[in-house]
Amino acid sequence: MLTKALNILNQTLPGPAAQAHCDGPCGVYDPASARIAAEAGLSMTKKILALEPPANTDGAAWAAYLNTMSRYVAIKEEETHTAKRELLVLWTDYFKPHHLEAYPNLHDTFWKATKLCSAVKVEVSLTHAQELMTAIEEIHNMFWASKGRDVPYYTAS
Amino acid sequence: MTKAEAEIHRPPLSRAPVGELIRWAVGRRKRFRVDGRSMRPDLDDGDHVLVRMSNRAIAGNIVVCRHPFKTDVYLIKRVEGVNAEGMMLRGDNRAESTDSSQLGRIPWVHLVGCVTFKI
Repeated sequence: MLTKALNILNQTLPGPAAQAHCDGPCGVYDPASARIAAEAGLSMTKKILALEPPANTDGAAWAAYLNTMSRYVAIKEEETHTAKRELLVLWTDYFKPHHLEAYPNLHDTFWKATKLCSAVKVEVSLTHAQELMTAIEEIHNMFWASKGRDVPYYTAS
Repeated sequence: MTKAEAEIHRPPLSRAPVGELIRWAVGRRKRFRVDGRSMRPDLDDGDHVLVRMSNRAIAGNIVVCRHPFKTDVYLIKRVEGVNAEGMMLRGDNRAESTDSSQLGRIPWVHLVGCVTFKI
């Protein structure tokens, strides 16, 4: 009877989850996913800076301007958050303590890269968006070197 | 071994369910749901456990702690070893576990407590 009551309790009011699984049992990691998202953030930053507001008070022109600007901002928010998430997964799940011996600046590089993701999201900063790309290139080089593979870095744009 | 240490040593499948449930009812235990299969065969996906809040554990304990990089995430793992800085954690089912082999040593400050009972 006690067991039955506890089963009902567990089914109706489950406790907070304590994770007992692997984020990536497949073991497939690639900094390219972070690079693509960061590149989208850089592209949106450029587009936001280049978008000219209407010179007149025409309602339709302003509506179009605000609509376009909102879309740019929304995409920048979403993509830089994705970049941050991808970097955190790579940092916490792929890299292991022994990698620190080969790459002593690993933690610092990831920490700065994830902070830059936040900066690109919060600001409209071409400088920070480009610094983020540079940080991701460093991570790309560390990642593939740790696998003993020579994979050249490239960008889509 | 002190009484507190003996209590920490208690295996997850306690033989005193009523005592554990009373402790939970009066707030001396926290209840968590196991999400995943890295602690099989002792704990399976969907099981519930009671946890005794603690700031220390010893090798062999099953513990719940906060993820060191995702503070809104709880982990449930077995303690493989400890030192003054923290604990090394392992999943019993290594094939499906993110643990100290990826996360490194988990500082004591992240420890929530030790599993005392599987509901």
